[in-house]
Amino acid sequence: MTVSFSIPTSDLDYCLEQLLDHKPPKILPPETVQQLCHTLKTQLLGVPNIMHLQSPISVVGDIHGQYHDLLEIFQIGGSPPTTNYLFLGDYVDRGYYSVETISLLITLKLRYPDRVFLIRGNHESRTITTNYGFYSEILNKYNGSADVWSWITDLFDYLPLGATIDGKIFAAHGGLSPSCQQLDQIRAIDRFKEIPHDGIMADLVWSDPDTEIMDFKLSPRGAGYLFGLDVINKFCHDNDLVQMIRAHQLCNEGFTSYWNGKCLTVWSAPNYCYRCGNKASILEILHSNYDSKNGSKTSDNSFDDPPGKLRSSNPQGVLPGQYFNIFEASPENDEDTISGKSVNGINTDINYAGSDFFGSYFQERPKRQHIEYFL
Amino acid sequence: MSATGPTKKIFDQSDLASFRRSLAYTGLHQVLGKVIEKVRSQDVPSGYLDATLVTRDGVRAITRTKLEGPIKEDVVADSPVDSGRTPEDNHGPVFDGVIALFDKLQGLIDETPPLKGPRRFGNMACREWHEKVKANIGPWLQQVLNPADNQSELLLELKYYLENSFGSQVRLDYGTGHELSYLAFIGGLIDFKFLDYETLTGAQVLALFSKYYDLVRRLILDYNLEPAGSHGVWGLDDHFHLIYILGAAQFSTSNISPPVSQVLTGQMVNTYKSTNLYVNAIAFIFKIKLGPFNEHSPILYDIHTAVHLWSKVLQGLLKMYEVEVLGKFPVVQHFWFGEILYLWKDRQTGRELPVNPRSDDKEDSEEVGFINGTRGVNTTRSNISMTAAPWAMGRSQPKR
Repeated sequence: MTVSFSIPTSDLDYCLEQLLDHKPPKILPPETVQQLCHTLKTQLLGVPNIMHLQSPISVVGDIHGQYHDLLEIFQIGGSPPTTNYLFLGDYVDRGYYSVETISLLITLKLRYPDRVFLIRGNHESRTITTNYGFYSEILNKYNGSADVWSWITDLFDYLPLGATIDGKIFAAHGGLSPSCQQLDQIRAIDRFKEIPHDGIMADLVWSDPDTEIMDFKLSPRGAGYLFGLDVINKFCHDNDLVQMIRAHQLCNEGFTSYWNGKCLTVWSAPNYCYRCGNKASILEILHSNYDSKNGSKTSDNSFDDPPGKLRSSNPQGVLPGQYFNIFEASPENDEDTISGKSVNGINTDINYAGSDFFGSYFQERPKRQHIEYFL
Repeated sequence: MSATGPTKKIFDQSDLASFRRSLAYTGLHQVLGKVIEKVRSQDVPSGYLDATLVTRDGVRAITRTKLEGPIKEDVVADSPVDSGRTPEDNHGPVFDGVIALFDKLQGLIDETPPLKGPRRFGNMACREWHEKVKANIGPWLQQVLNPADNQSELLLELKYYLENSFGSQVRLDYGTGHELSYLAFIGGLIDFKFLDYETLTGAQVLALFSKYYDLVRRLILDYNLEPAGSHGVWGLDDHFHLIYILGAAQFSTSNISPPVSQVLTGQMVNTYKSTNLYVNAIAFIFKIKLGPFNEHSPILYDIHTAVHLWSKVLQGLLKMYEVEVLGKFPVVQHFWFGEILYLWKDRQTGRELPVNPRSDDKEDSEEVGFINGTRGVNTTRSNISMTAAPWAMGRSQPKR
């Protein structure tokens, strides 16, 4: 058995302070990231592939390095530890703040292990992060060294693959797999490895629902499958589930409901890539008492929910006790080129060399590296 | 020898070594060099770049007050096929013809409005536009170039590179590979004297590229072509690279160029966006992206904080082009090779280079591939952008 050593709470709080109290956020020094990753790994070793979680809990979809929008989520949805969070993966790549995003999530997980839950997305992988930006970002922010990238991607291998909520809802990043009929088949996987190109583990993070088919079909992504109504009905029936919640696909409105709420997509990166103009959401699950009141699963559910939060017409296509809390890009993202505030990207708080504990590292930190072509 | 036009030769990462040895590779570098030489110290002549395409709605009024001299203020917005362009109108029929061709292609966009409804990326109307282009471009090009009878194969190849420069009909995306294809087209026109390199002016070259870029930007905007570059914010630009090279070349030897460090300011962008392609490209980013520039475009931002000479900028962009465009399999796999313009032959021995087609790779158009890195692919139903697996890049669907 690995003996896990823990990091003192005060140190974790200090890391949180670095990330949360500065604008732009301060990245954590490499040694700190290494220690955080190591500690979290030892803790995740004992976590099953599918975690058993309970409502109430808020489910968050893709973030993709949009750090300010993650903070926005804590603003609108409450911050840990007062709100429980399940993150569905895709924390990194594409955005500018992947390092800060994953650092914050790791720290929060260590600080509030019973309040914050992270599962693995298709971007939590060495191959994908090399292709879609996280690797480049690390080189740029950590002085050309890929150490932090290897520690974090090693940690990714330990993330669980899914979760059940109240035993009734199955949550994963992507979708279902033709090789998997039982949750137990997922529980039996040796997950501590890079995501393979195919098989159950790959399909869980790559697949998408498709309302035009009934069965499985190859995915145009080149990995995973499209799955239809029959597939999800059978899977839910065989595993005593009522619903699958997943992320993985950009939704203009921030969420999509398939098959009357049988499957939900939650997307949490507003104005994706600074230009898609889409909304984002988090899914707040208050309870899962579907049988207690008036039976029908997707009908009127306003009775035992907070007033005003859920409308009886259920326009969101969710189950009782569920609510998509929709939000748009955080004000930080709107400090925009018209107002001229950041036209030149000049941030007055760029001075890292404070007198604090981490200051010495940043003082030594040279300019970013991706301009090597030009020097 | 068959009159089928260019064919695919790059099937896999290992074919890049052959590509680097090919006459085509040398040819592309020569064209790039020729074009750069021409545009040094030159401005895009007025009347060719449409400022509204790179300006946000709502700030248009400001942009019109710039010191532009003879620009015809209201002509630029519409199809400017008129006398307002340049003082010395002695261009030659091919130049005029190609410029007019772009107006026709723009016209096809007007005729093919994007489909309404809750679709976001890659509007399907773009496929229709591509269909219309395919149906027309052959005769149009024939008319413009008026080739000799024995040049039908050449025409076919030129047509291929031009057609391929407007983005992918299948994936509804656009990237640096398509931009490269346009360079190849221009190179063909120069090499076969449709455009006489000796008399061709830098202003003309810039006009030819300006019309092209404006067309592509309309495609991107009107049909919402795929946004995501493979590295997200960690790439030079979502769509373009060559445009920065040309613009930097324009500035690189000029005494009156703005300082590199000031080009990201609103004032400089407005001053130069209609005359310099680099600034024009920056203006387009400002138009389509929200948020701090250093976040959504960190590489460009760094260029402007760390580099001081335009010649250095140009040099760096060229090095980067070599690696990130010509050296990237996902990009150049879509560059095809013919019998006349860009040859898949060893530049030293003149021999055919090896071709290793993969059995499951017959149909390029079926690919879930990528240009400029990661274009996502579209779902069957809702047309929503998504990430594809890198190991599936440039392949048809994996066999299972």
